[in-house]
Amino acid sequence: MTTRKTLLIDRLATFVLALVLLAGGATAVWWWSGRSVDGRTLPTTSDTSTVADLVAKDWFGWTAAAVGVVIALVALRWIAAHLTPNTVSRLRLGSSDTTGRLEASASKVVGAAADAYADTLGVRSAKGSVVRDRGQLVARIDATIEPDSDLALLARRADEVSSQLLTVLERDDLRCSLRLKVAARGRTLPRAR
Amino acid sequence: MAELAPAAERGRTTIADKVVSRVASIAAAEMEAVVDTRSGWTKLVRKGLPHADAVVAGGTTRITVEVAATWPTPLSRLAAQVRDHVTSRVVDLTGTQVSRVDVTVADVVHLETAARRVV
Repeated sequence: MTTRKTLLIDRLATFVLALVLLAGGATAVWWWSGRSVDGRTLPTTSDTSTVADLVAKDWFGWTAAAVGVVIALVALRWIAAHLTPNTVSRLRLGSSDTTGRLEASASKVVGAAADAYADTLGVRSAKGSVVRDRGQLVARIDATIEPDSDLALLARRADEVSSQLLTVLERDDLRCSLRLKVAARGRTLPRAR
Repeated sequence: MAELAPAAERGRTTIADKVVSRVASIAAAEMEAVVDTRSGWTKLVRKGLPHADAVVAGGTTRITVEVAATWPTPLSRLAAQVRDHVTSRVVDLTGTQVSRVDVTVADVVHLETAARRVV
Protein backbone atom coordinates (compact mmCIF):
# COMPACT_ATOMS: atom_id res chain seq x y z
CA MET A 1 0.00 0.00 0.00
CA THR A 2 1.36 3.41 -0.95
CA THR A 3 0.92 5.37 2.25
CA ARG A 4 1.14 9.11 2.83
CA LYS A 5 4.54 8.51 4.43
CA THR A 6 5.82 6.71 1.32
CA LEU A 7 4.52 9.50 -0.91
CA LEU A 8 6.22 12.09 1.30
CA ILE A 9 9.52 10.19 1.12
CA ASP A 10 9.10 9.88 -2.69
CA ARG A 11 8.61 13.63 -3.00
CA LEU A 12 11.51 14.44 -0.70
CA ALA A 13 13.78 12.01 -2.57
CA THR A 14 12.72 13.51 -5.91
CA PHE A 15 13.36 17.02 -4.58
CA VAL A 16 16.82 16.08 -3.26
CA LEU A 17 17.70 14.30 -6.54
CA ALA A 18 16.55 17.33 -8.54
CA LEU A 19 18.73 19.61 -6.37
CA VAL A 20 21.74 17.30 -6.85
CA LEU A 21 21.21 17.21 -10.63
CA LEU A 22 20.77 20.98 -10.73
CA ALA A 23 23.95 21.55 -8.70
CA GLY A 24 25.88 18.99 -10.80
CA GLY A 25 24.71 20.59 -14.05
CA ALA A 26 25.54 24.10 -12.82
CA THR A 27 29.00 22.95 -11.68
CA ALA A 28 29.66 21.26 -15.04
CA VAL A 29 28.70 24.44 -16.90
CA TRP A 30 30.88 26.50 -14.54
CA TRP A 31 33.83 24.15 -15.10
CA TRP A 32 33.30 24.18 -18.88
CA SER A 33 33.11 28.00 -19.03
CA GLY A 34 36.21 28.51 -16.87
CA ARG A 35 34.68 31.69 -15.44
CA SER A 36 35.37 33.06 -12.02
CA VAL A 37 32.51 33.23 -9.50
CA ASP A 38 33.18 35.37 -6.40
CA GLY A 39 36.88 35.27 -7.30
CA ARG A 40 36.98 31.48 -7.35
CA THR A 41 37.52 29.22 -10.36
CA LEU A 42 37.38 25.45 -10.64
CA PRO A 43 40.70 23.63 -11.20
CA THR A 44 41.31 22.51 -14.79
CA THR A 45 42.57 19.10 -13.66
CA SER A 46 41.04 16.78 -11.07
CA ASP A 47 43.07 15.50 -8.16
CA THR A 48 41.98 12.15 -6.72
CA SER A 49 44.84 11.69 -4.29
CA THR A 50 42.58 12.51 -1.30
CA VAL A 51 40.16 9.78 -2.37
CA ALA A 52 43.04 7.34 -2.89
CA ASP A 53 44.34 8.08 0.62
CA LEU A 54 40.86 7.57 2.07
CA VAL A 55 40.33 4.25 0.30
CA ALA A 56 43.75 3.04 1.51
CA LYS A 57 42.74 3.39 5.19
CA ASP A 58 42.20 0.14 7.13
CA TRP A 59 38.66 0.98 8.27
CA PHE A 60 37.43 1.98 4.82
CA GLY A 61 36.53 -1.54 3.60
CA TRP A 62 34.34 -2.38 6.62
CA THR A 63 32.71 1.03 6.65
CA ALA A 64 31.91 0.87 2.94
CA ALA A 65 30.43 -2.63 3.38
CA ALA A 66 28.27 -1.52 6.33
CA VAL A 67 27.03 1.56 4.48
CA GLY A 68 26.33 -0.64 1.41
CA VAL A 69 24.25 -3.07 3.48
CA VAL A 70 22.27 -0.21 5.05
CA ILE A 71 21.62 1.36 1.62
CA ALA A 72 20.54 -2.02 0.19
CA LEU A 73 18.10 -2.57 3.08
CA VAL A 74 16.64 0.92 2.68
CA ALA A 75 16.29 0.31 -1.08
CA LEU A 76 14.48 -3.01 -0.53
CA ARG A 77 12.14 -1.40 2.00
CA TRP A 78 11.44 1.42 -0.43
CA ILE A 79 10.68 -0.98 -3.27
CA ALA A 80 8.44 -3.09 -1.00
CA ALA A 81 6.49 0.03 0.00
CA HIS A 82 5.59 0.51 -3.66
CA LEU A 83 4.90 -3.13 -4.52
CA THR A 84 2.28 -3.86 -1.89
CA PRO A 85 -1.15 -3.74 -3.55
CA ASN A 86 -3.36 -0.94 -2.28
CA THR A 87 -6.65 -2.64 -3.10
CA VAL A 88 -8.87 -3.67 -0.21
CA SER A 89 -10.45 -7.12 -0.54
CA ARG A 90 -12.69 -7.29 2.56
CA LEU A 91 -14.55 -4.65 4.52
CA ARG A 92 -15.52 -5.25 8.14
CA LEU A 93 -19.16 -4.46 8.82
CA GLY A 94 -20.41 -2.54 11.82
CA SER A 95 -22.28 -5.25 13.70
CA SER A 96 -19.27 -7.54 14.20
CA ASP A 97 -18.89 -8.75 17.76
CA THR A 98 -17.82 -11.78 19.75
CA THR A 99 -20.70 -13.85 18.32
CA GLY A 100 -19.34 -13.51 14.81
CA ARG A 101 -17.30 -11.50 12.37
CA LEU A 102 -19.33 -9.75 9.66
CA GLU A 103 -17.57 -8.80 6.45
CA ALA A 104 -18.31 -7.89 2.86
CA SER A 105 -16.33 -8.43 -0.31
CA ALA A 106 -15.20 -4.89 -1.14
CA SER A 107 -14.89 -5.45 -4.89
CA LYS A 108 -18.36 -7.02 -5.14
CA VAL A 109 -20.07 -4.20 -3.23
CA VAL A 110 -18.44 -1.46 -5.26
CA GLY A 111 -18.91 -3.59 -8.39
CA ALA A 112 -22.67 -3.54 -7.73
CA ALA A 113 -22.49 0.24 -7.26
CA ALA A 114 -20.69 0.46 -10.61
CA ASP A 115 -23.41 -1.71 -12.20
CA ALA A 116 -26.05 0.65 -10.78
CA TYR A 117 -24.18 3.61 -12.24
CA ALA A 118 -23.73 1.81 -15.57
CA ASP A 119 -27.53 1.70 -15.87
CA THR A 120 -27.57 5.48 -16.28
CA LEU A 121 -28.37 6.78 -19.73
CA GLY A 122 -25.11 7.73 -21.42
CA VAL A 123 -22.86 5.44 -19.36
CA ARG A 124 -21.33 2.73 -21.52
CA SER A 125 -19.62 0.73 -18.78
CA ALA A 126 -18.40 1.06 -15.21
CA LYS A 127 -16.26 -0.92 -12.83
CA GLY A 128 -15.43 -0.45 -9.18
CA SER A 129 -12.86 -1.27 -6.53
CA VAL A 130 -11.88 -0.21 -3.04
CA VAL A 131 -8.38 1.12 -2.47
CA ARG A 132 -6.39 2.71 0.32
CA ASP A 133 -5.29 6.05 -1.03
CA ARG A 134 -2.99 8.10 1.22
CA GLY A 135 -4.46 6.53 4.33
CA GLN A 136 -8.09 6.99 3.21
CA LEU A 137 -10.46 4.18 2.34
CA VAL A 138 -11.75 5.07 -1.14
CA ALA A 139 -14.45 3.35 -3.20
CA ARG A 140 -13.38 4.08 -6.75
CA ILE A 141 -15.73 3.77 -9.71
CA ASP A 142 -14.29 4.18 -13.21
CA ALA A 143 -16.93 4.76 -15.86
CA THR A 144 -16.79 5.18 -19.62
CA ILE A 145 -19.42 7.56 -20.95
CA GLU A 146 -20.75 8.41 -24.40
CA PRO A 147 -19.41 11.61 -25.99
CA ASP A 148 -22.90 13.15 -26.12
CA SER A 149 -24.02 12.18 -22.61
CA ASP A 150 -25.74 14.61 -20.23
CA LEU A 151 -23.10 15.54 -17.65
CA ALA A 152 -25.62 17.09 -15.25
CA LEU A 153 -27.56 13.82 -15.20
CA LEU A 154 -24.35 11.84 -14.69
CA ALA A 155 -23.35 14.10 -11.78
CA ARG A 156 -26.78 13.63 -10.14
CA ARG A 157 -26.57 9.86 -10.57
CA ALA A 158 -23.03 9.86 -9.17
CA ASP A 159 -24.36 11.56 -6.02
CA GLU A 160 -27.21 9.05 -5.79
CA VAL A 161 -24.97 6.00 -6.23
CA SER A 162 -22.33 7.22 -3.77
CA SER A 163 -25.10 7.95 -1.25
CA GLN A 164 -26.48 4.42 -1.76
CA LEU A 165 -23.00 2.99 -1.33
CA LEU A 166 -22.60 4.74 2.03
CA THR A 167 -26.02 3.39 3.07
CA VAL A 168 -25.07 -0.12 1.99
CA LEU A 169 -21.74 -0.19 3.82
CA GLU A 170 -22.58 2.14 6.73
CA ARG A 171 -18.96 3.18 7.12
CA ASP A 172 -18.11 6.77 7.98
CA ASP A 173 -14.50 6.36 6.94
CA LEU A 174 -15.34 5.50 3.31
CA ARG A 175 -14.85 8.09 0.58
CA CYS A 176 -16.32 7.69 -2.89
CA SER A 177 -14.46 8.68 -6.03
CA LEU A 178 -16.00 8.48 -9.48
CA ARG A 179 -13.83 8.98 -12.56
CA LEU A 180 -15.39 9.48 -15.97
CA LYS A 181 -13.67 8.68 -19.24
CA VAL A 182 -15.28 9.80 -22.48
CA ALA A 183 -15.41 7.03 -25.10
CA ALA A 184 -13.41 7.81 -28.23
CA ARG A 185 -16.37 7.06 -30.50
CA GLY A 186 -20.08 7.33 -29.89
CA ARG A 187 -22.34 4.40 -30.56
CA THR A 188 -25.99 3.99 -31.39
CA LEU A 189 -28.04 3.49 -28.26
CA PRO A 190 -30.95 1.04 -28.22
CA ARG A 191 -34.32 2.64 -28.96
CA ALA A 192 -37.65 1.75 -27.42
CA ARG A 193 -40.52 1.03 -29.77
CA MET B 1 -44.17 -52.88 28.32
CA ALA B 2 -40.60 -52.74 29.60
CA GLU B 3 -39.28 -49.36 30.69
CA LEU B 4 -36.72 -47.74 28.47
CA ALA B 5 -33.21 -47.23 29.80
CA PRO B 6 -32.07 -43.62 30.35
CA ALA B 7 -31.33 -41.81 27.10
CA ALA B 8 -27.61 -41.54 27.87
CA GLU B 9 -27.38 -45.33 28.10
CA ARG B 10 -29.35 -46.07 24.92
CA GLY B 11 -26.88 -44.58 22.49
CA ARG B 12 -25.18 -41.48 21.30
CA THR B 13 -26.57 -38.90 18.89
CA THR B 14 -24.02 -37.32 16.60
CA ILE B 15 -24.81 -34.41 14.33
CA ALA B 16 -22.42 -34.37 11.38
CA ASP B 17 -20.72 -31.15 10.32
CA LYS B 18 -22.38 -31.49 6.91
CA VAL B 19 -25.83 -31.50 8.46
CA VAL B 20 -25.17 -28.31 10.39
CA SER B 21 -23.65 -26.73 7.27
CA ARG B 22 -26.74 -27.62 5.26
CA VAL B 23 -29.12 -26.27 7.91
CA ALA B 24 -27.10 -23.04 8.10
CA SER B 25 -27.07 -22.71 4.32
CA ILE B 26 -30.85 -23.19 4.07
CA ALA B 27 -31.42 -20.79 6.97
CA ALA B 28 -29.33 -18.13 5.24
CA ALA B 29 -31.34 -18.58 2.04
CA GLU B 30 -34.56 -17.91 3.99
CA MET B 31 -33.61 -14.27 4.45
CA GLU B 32 -35.47 -11.92 2.13
CA ALA B 33 -32.55 -9.82 0.92
CA VAL B 34 -30.31 -12.86 0.40
CA VAL B 35 -30.03 -13.96 -3.22
CA ASP B 36 -29.77 -17.63 -4.08
CA THR B 37 -27.21 -17.81 -6.88
CA ARG B 38 -27.35 -21.61 -7.07
CA SER B 39 -29.02 -23.02 -10.12
CA GLY B 40 -28.85 -26.26 -12.11
CA TRP B 41 -25.56 -28.08 -11.68
CA THR B 42 -24.21 -25.60 -9.12
CA LYS B 43 -26.95 -26.83 -6.76
CA LEU B 44 -25.86 -30.42 -7.29
CA VAL B 45 -22.21 -29.73 -6.55
CA ARG B 46 -23.07 -27.35 -3.69
CA LYS B 47 -21.47 -24.35 -5.34
CA GLY B 48 -22.81 -20.84 -5.43
CA LEU B 49 -24.31 -18.76 -2.64
CA PRO B 50 -25.47 -19.00 0.10
CA HIS B 51 -22.80 -21.38 1.28
CA ALA B 52 -22.03 -22.50 4.81
CA ASP B 53 -19.30 -24.47 6.55
CA ALA B 54 -19.63 -25.76 10.09
CA VAL B 55 -17.29 -27.35 12.58
CA VAL B 56 -18.93 -29.21 15.47
CA ALA B 57 -16.61 -29.89 18.39
CA GLY B 58 -17.32 -30.53 22.04
CA GLY B 59 -21.01 -29.82 21.69
CA THR B 60 -20.50 -26.36 20.24
CA THR B 61 -20.56 -25.29 16.63
CA ARG B 62 -18.62 -22.69 14.74
CA ILE B 63 -20.22 -21.67 11.45
CA THR B 64 -18.98 -19.67 8.48
CA VAL B 65 -21.63 -18.39 6.09
CA GLU B 66 -21.22 -16.68 2.72
CA VAL B 67 -24.21 -14.96 1.16
CA ALA B 68 -25.10 -12.80 -1.82
CA ALA B 69 -27.22 -9.69 -1.20
CA THR B 70 -29.31 -7.45 -3.40
CA TRP B 71 -28.24 -3.88 -4.14
CA PRO B 72 -28.80 -1.55 -2.20
CA THR B 73 -29.47 -3.50 1.00
CA PRO B 74 -27.63 -2.19 4.10
CA LEU B 75 -25.13 -5.01 4.56
CA SER B 76 -24.34 -4.56 8.22
CA ARG B 77 -27.99 -5.10 9.19
CA LEU B 78 -28.40 -7.96 6.72
CA ALA B 79 -25.29 -9.78 7.94
CA ALA B 80 -26.40 -9.39 11.57
CA GLN B 81 -29.87 -10.76 10.68
CA VAL B 82 -28.28 -13.71 8.86
CA ARG B 83 -26.07 -14.42 11.88
CA ASP B 84 -29.03 -14.32 14.28
CA HIS B 85 -31.32 -16.37 12.01
CA VAL B 86 -28.70 -19.03 11.30
CA THR B 87 -27.90 -19.31 15.00
CA SER B 88 -31.57 -19.67 15.88
CA ARG B 89 -32.30 -22.27 13.20
CA VAL B 90 -29.23 -24.38 13.94
CA VAL B 91 -29.98 -24.40 17.67
CA ASP B 92 -33.65 -25.28 17.05
CA LEU B 93 -33.09 -27.98 14.45
CA THR B 94 -29.87 -29.67 15.59
CA GLY B 95 -29.80 -28.94 19.31
CA THR B 96 -26.12 -27.97 19.21
CA GLN B 97 -24.82 -24.81 20.83
CA VAL B 98 -23.55 -22.22 18.36
CA SER B 99 -20.46 -20.43 19.63
CA ARG B 100 -19.84 -18.22 16.63
CA VAL B 101 -21.26 -17.42 13.19
CA ASP B 102 -19.02 -15.51 10.83
CA VAL B 103 -20.93 -13.98 7.91
CA THR B 104 -19.38 -12.73 4.70
CA VAL B 105 -21.37 -10.94 2.02
CA ALA B 106 -19.42 -12.48 -0.85
CA ASP B 107 -21.49 -10.99 -3.67
CA VAL B 108 -23.87 -8.11 -4.24
CA VAL B 109 -26.32 -8.35 -7.11
CA HIS B 110 -27.87 -5.38 -8.89
CA LEU B 111 -31.26 -6.68 -9.96
CA GLU B 112 -32.77 -3.65 -11.66
CA THR B 113 -33.00 -3.85 -15.40
CA ALA B 114 -31.01 -1.35 -17.36
CA ALA B 115 -32.81 1.86 -18.17
CA ARG B 116 -32.04 2.76 -21.73
CA ARG B 117 -32.77 5.58 -24.07
CA VAL B 118 -36.42 6.12 -24.90
CA VAL B 119 -37.11 8.08 -28.08
